[in-house]
Amino acid sequence: MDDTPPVLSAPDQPTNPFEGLKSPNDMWKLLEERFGRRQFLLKSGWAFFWVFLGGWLLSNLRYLFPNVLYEPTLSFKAGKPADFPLGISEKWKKAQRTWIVRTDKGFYCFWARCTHLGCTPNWFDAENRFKCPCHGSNFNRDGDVVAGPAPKPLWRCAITMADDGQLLIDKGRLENRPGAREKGEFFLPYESA
Amino acid sequence: MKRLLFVLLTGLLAVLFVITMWRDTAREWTSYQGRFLKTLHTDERRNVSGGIKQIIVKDLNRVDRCTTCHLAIDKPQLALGEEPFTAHPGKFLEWHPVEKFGCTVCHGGQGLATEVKAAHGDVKHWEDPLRRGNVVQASCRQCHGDLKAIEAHVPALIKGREVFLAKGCYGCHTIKDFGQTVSQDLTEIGSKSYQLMEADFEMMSPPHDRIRWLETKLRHPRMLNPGVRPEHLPPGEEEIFPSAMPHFGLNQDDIESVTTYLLSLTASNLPASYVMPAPPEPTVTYASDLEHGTAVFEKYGCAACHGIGGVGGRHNWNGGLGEETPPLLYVKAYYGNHVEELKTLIRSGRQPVPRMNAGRPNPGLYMPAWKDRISEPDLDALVVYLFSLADRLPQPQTPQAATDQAQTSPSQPTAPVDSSPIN
Amino acid sequence: MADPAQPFSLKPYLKKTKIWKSIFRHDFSDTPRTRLLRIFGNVFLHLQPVRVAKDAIRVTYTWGLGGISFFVFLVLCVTGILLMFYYRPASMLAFQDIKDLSFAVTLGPLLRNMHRWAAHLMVVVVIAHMVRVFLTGAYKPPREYNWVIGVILLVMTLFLSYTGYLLPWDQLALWAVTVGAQMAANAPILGNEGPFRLPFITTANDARFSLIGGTVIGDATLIRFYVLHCVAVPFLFCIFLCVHLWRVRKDSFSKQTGEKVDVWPHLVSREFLAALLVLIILFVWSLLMNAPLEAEANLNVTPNPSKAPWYFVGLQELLVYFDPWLAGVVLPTLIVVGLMAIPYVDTNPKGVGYWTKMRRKSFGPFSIWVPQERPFAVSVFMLGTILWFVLIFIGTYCRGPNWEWYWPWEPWSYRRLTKLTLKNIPNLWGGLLVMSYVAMGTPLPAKAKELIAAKAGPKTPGRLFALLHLGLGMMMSVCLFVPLLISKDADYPLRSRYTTLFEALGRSINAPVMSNLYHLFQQAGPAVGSAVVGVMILVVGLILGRIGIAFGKMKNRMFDELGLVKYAIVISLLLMMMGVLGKIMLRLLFGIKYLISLPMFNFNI
Repeated sequence: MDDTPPVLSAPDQPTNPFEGLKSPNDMWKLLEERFGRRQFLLKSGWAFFWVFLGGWLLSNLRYLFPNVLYEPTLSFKAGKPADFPLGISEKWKKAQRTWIVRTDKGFYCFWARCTHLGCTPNWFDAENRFKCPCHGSNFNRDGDVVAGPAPKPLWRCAITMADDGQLLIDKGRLENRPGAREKGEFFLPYESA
Repeated sequence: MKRLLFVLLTGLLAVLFVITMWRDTAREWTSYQGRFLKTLHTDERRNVSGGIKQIIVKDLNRVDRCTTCHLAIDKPQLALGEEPFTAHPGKFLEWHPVEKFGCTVCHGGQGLATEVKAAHGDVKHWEDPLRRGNVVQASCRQCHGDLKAIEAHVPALIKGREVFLAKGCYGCHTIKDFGQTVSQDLTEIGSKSYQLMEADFEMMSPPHDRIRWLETKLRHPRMLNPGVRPEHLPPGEEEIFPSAMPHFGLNQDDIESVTTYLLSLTASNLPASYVMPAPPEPTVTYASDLEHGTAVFEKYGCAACHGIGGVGGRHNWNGGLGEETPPLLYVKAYYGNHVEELKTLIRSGRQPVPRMNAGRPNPGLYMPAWKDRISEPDLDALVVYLFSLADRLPQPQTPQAATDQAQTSPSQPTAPVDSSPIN
Repeated sequence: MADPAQPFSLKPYLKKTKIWKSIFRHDFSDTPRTRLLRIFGNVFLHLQPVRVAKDAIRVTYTWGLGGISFFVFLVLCVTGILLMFYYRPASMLAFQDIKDLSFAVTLGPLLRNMHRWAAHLMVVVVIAHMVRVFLTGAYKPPREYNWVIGVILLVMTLFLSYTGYLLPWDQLALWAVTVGAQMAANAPILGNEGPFRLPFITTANDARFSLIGGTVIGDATLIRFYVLHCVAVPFLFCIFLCVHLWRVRKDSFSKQTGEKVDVWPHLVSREFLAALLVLIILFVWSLLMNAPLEAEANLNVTPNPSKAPWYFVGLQELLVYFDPWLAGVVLPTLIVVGLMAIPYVDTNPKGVGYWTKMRRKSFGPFSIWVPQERPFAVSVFMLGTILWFVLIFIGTYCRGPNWEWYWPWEPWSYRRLTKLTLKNIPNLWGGLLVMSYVAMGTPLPAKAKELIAAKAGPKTPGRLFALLHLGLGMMMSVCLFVPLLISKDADYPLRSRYTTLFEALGRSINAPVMSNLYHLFQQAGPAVGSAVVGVMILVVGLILGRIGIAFGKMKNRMFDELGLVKYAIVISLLLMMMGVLGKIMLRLLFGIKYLISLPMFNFNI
């Protein structure tokens, strides 16, 4: 494809379309000296081609990222605080993939998704642990990893009290760093009567 | 050598092809259809076409192929005495046109399947098995909100609901935001995945399906979750108690009825055009506070733990009071002069309850909080009822009288025999 | 036609027609000329040369593996195209369509089974083909480039299996793909949960997002995988396959001994018989076993245990021992790159075109079979392959609910009480351990040896070298055991009992090494305990050092032969492979989770 012509040919070729131009641009001359005219044309042709091809491929890559998603919203109302007993509630595990945990101090909420590879762990009350069926990660009541390959604690969702007295949970806001996860929107103080 | 191999291989391939085609044509349903067609006259046969048949119900998003074998289900004039060629009993098909309802929405099973075992849902990975016998009544509740209106057709379902109420299941379980959270939420127990309902089949003989699991659980509540005894554990590990669910001593009929009722609790969400909502509950008026209190006691399921009539006697592993739940007969004696204290106790519950042996784990049963569940008037009436229980305490009596009472007691609803865990 | 005197024969008449002549350019009598013409005149047969060395087509040389994998690919194409007629890639319909295929479509079950089992067979055959090519040295010049193409084809085969796995839209599919897609989220730099993530990367624009077309697996993922599985990847696969086959033809077969024979009929007939045999196997397999189909996909319920397809179970098992970005991204990439690099770093010209002979060699009390030629290359490659299959075996047969260790003969129990606890080695110790391990790879170049020998006597380099390795071995031993024993969390060895292989070996014995050592350390008095522990550390260190010395000579020779760059590639791949094995042992025996843990960078080893 690129059977490059001899480099020497450029300056005094009679068929050169630019031969007639008696007022050569300095820049043009410089380029001519540097590359030779045909070489230059060829090279810039290739450059344009690669720019096009690269851009085209990149834009096609961008094409693979959808701009709108058909996915459910991430926040939901979980009901009155009094409906939850002390301990881990699996009430919303099926519908919303969350566990709501009530301690004697208040509420927090886990996203029921293993931080290893995204399976849904199960709560084993007797062992006081969440266990993941995919690679055997174990988490304790605080969501910290006690065993298995998971690299991070379980994510906690933002949990607030809605105006109608229900728990409002937002899976879009997540936190799992010790210290940050026990305060602010990730922990809802609620004294047991 | 090569030629011989060639002949052998191509021959084998041809044979395999024949086997494949034979297997493909000789499906289970073809033999059923063949058997059925043989029983028909020629002119009758003209009306019955062969091949896989299916009922497509767009509204319910179902495709049912049951009629491939159940050929006479809607043709009583052709029906035979044996399955699968019987006709549908009763006028149910008249009321529920097949093209609007299909089969599986009521009967369960796998509509798309064309093999007996798979179609009846007796296979792994199909969690909606065929509802055989009375259990099928569970399906009616998907649409019929008012069970009274179809009373004659759903005796098991109605009885199941009554037993569920009478045994006080609401005391621990929730159904649609009513009830307590001591144990599993039963709102969708009829359709939840086995894993979410923690259906553990390890201690059960096959078949392993939802209906059998529920029946077994009701019959032997502790058998399916026997816990782990300390001697089977390495030293230093806490033992695990068996399931805390009391043994209610249900008979076979009760078990079937309650199973039916539980199966009717599904997440099924049929289109509004199918559903016939229940009429609003009539407001009940009570003749006396005592009657009101009795109703409250029954409605909220106190009997599950405290026994019917408050006699106590449910086993609670490692609970105080000799591993038993407290009877309520002495409430008056304790709280007669401290009504507010009693009310506070009921409102806020007691979790966990005191342990008999501090070295062993917490008991499974506990008193949940009733604060936002029982209204103040109800609570007042409940107290009246609880205080009335003291009258049932045996009066000082002669030995002769005691034996008399023991002989007559089984017929009395308050008798402790009813709640004994080994009944 | 009705003339009885001269019976009309159709064939000669047909053969005279222009149509016949335009299609078949030669007659079919068996002459040397037609044997050639058959190959030349047919675009499909022309993939092959006209004549080939007799030994090259011996069944026991190639086992026909390349041809068989090509044939299995054809079977997959045909069955796949047929399945597409009944399959709609939408989450509402896909599962129902698969049920239809297995219950209501004529030949549906057979085609589905055949497609599934052929996919499994293809993975097996392709891997076996690769092993064969390696062992007979067929990747050596001038065939290096084709080896690389072959590795790409292997990767594509696995990717085709992976994308096809989602299509039935059942629980098996969903969770295998969830796990697989999550690996993409753990890719370094581009993954939302990977190490060294770029600041603008979120769940809605990371590598996983582009793979599954959303933040959760749904319709977008299904159509994406459908297109990849049915169109995009097969398209690329065919291109690479053409190059692969064409290259075989251009570079000629690796075996050139023996007289030349005509490809038609000698090779063609063998290929045909092999294809028949494969077809029979697939038929029988499909008649006897149904392709699995579980409950409809449900994002809220993860089956317990949930296992990937068998060829990925090894990877899944690897994910137990390493963080996802390592086990799911870095290690597979290194495996692939390492495979591709083989022909470029292997400068040994021996061993092309024949299976190496084995001989017995004794190592102390043991005697094992060792290849006579290329012992290092063959043993390392085979060790890697076997390790991969051992991982697959563990994942398939030794893992039960909650991915806990069960022996194959043990019944699974969903209520088995296992309080698994793992422990990190403190970063300092772990870092030292890793560094000493890596340092084990240093060679002593010939020049350096001469230099030292000239300065300090001829024996010094050897002694120095041995000392270095013993020191490194001792360092590793100390770094491993000391933190475990003096750890503040005093009951660690006790609590780890469930994690260890010893526990799995006999739950009743309940006496793992670390637990007993710890007791000695604590109870027998510090002096006795320290002495015992010291002896153990010494022994382990000496063993590790001895192993280093044993490989020392080989390392030095390799360095001198390969030069720095190639040596570095070879030794780092080797160290990585042995390191993976070592980490697995550390986890299984001592319950160690991380050697180095930097949570702020999501970087843990």
